Amino acid sequence: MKKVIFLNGSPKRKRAVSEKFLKIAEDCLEGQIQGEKLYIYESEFSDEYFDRIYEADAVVMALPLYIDCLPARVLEFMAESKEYLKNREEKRPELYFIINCGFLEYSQNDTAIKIIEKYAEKNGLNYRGGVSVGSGAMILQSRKKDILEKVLKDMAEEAGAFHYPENMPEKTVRKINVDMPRFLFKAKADKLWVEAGAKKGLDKKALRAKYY
Amino acid sequence: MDKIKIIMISDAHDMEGRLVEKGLQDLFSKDEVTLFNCADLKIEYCIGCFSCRYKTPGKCVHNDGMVDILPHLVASDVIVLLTRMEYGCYSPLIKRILDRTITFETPFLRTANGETHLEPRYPKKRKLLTVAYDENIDSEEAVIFTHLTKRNAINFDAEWRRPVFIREGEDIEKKLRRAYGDLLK
Ligand SMILES: Cc1cc2nc3c(=O)[nH]c(=O)nc-3n(C[C@H](O)[C@H](O)[C@H](O)COP(=O)(O)O)c2cc1C
Repeated sequence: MKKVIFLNGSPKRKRAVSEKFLKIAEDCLEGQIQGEKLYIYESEFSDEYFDRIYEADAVVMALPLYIDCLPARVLEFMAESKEYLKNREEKRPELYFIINCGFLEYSQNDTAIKIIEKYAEKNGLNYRGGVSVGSGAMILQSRKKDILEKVLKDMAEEAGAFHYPENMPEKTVRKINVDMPRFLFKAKADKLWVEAGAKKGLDKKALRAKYY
Repeated sequence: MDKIKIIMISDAHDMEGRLVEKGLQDLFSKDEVTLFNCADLKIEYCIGCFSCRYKTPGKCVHNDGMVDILPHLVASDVIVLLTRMEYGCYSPLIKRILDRTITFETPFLRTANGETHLEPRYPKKRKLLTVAYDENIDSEEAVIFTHLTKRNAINFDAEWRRPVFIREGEDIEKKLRRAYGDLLK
């Protein structure tokens, strides 16, 4: 059985959108792999921790887009694991990602994906691509839900398999966001925040207030 | 003429970084500079709770070093980020601070460069200058970082300036002087 590590790179941990996406991938491999889930935002970066991760055959990392790149602690994970990997001779696992951003367009993840790829390249990991999701918070409630589930499962199956079919493209990045014009996305998102503010007794003007 | 207000956030902690930091301080000697070095700051991670959006607009749940930084960020004409290059990205310490700048935006969307982004909470004509250093920065990392900072400028609602890349042994002063000329444009 292949050993697969599922890494959650969101500070929201179990409450994250990343967790939901990761769960879809995990569930589809149930019984077919030896899997383990770890949370980057609650882990100490010890050698034992990195042993667990890098002894696996594949790592699937799910994370949100933060300020157009990776969340701070994910970068810290990468920096620390670099030191660890320097002293490690053995094989390197495959690396897959699931990245999601809050804004509508999946294209906003492109730079962050390049950073992940660079990390893999510089540390000799076998970068295999992943899933890039726009409108991450809305997509599971949209018509795109089924397609998203399908691409997450496709990726998971690749991560769970020892052999790929010969015609399987390498490093596939599957890209998806809700199917909605920008003005409608804005109207929907703005409405959610107006409602959230109203529950706290805050109107639109108060939500725009300058604190400093 | 009023002095240019510059906020400089730096992760310099070793020789290489400190040299560039010193070079920047000399460069801005006639301006009003406030320097924050990550080594002197305690910054918590953003926990993604969005309290700063809908509970206490503009205010974070953490009460730490950001409380000192944010007023300077708001008042600044120029934001300078000095960072070690890590895979075409910022160093983790600089990124901790950047993650905490979402208080800089309101919850509401706008369109910029044909994409959705957030409205700035403190609109002002600012400029964003980034300086990345490392022993070696390959051309791909430079391209990634260039793209990244362009995107950051949109979300900061700032004018983007071409990043400065400083590799070991390069002429720091010369590179920074060129960037200063670019900054005044
Ligand atoms: C500090 C911070 C920075 C963010 N930066 C971006 C960004 O640059 N672009 C974007 O589209 N969404 C951004 N978001 C929104 C998140 O990517 C979005 O909420 C995502 O769905 C969170 O996923 P998670 O629940 O897995 O953490 C940011 C959110 C936070 C808290």
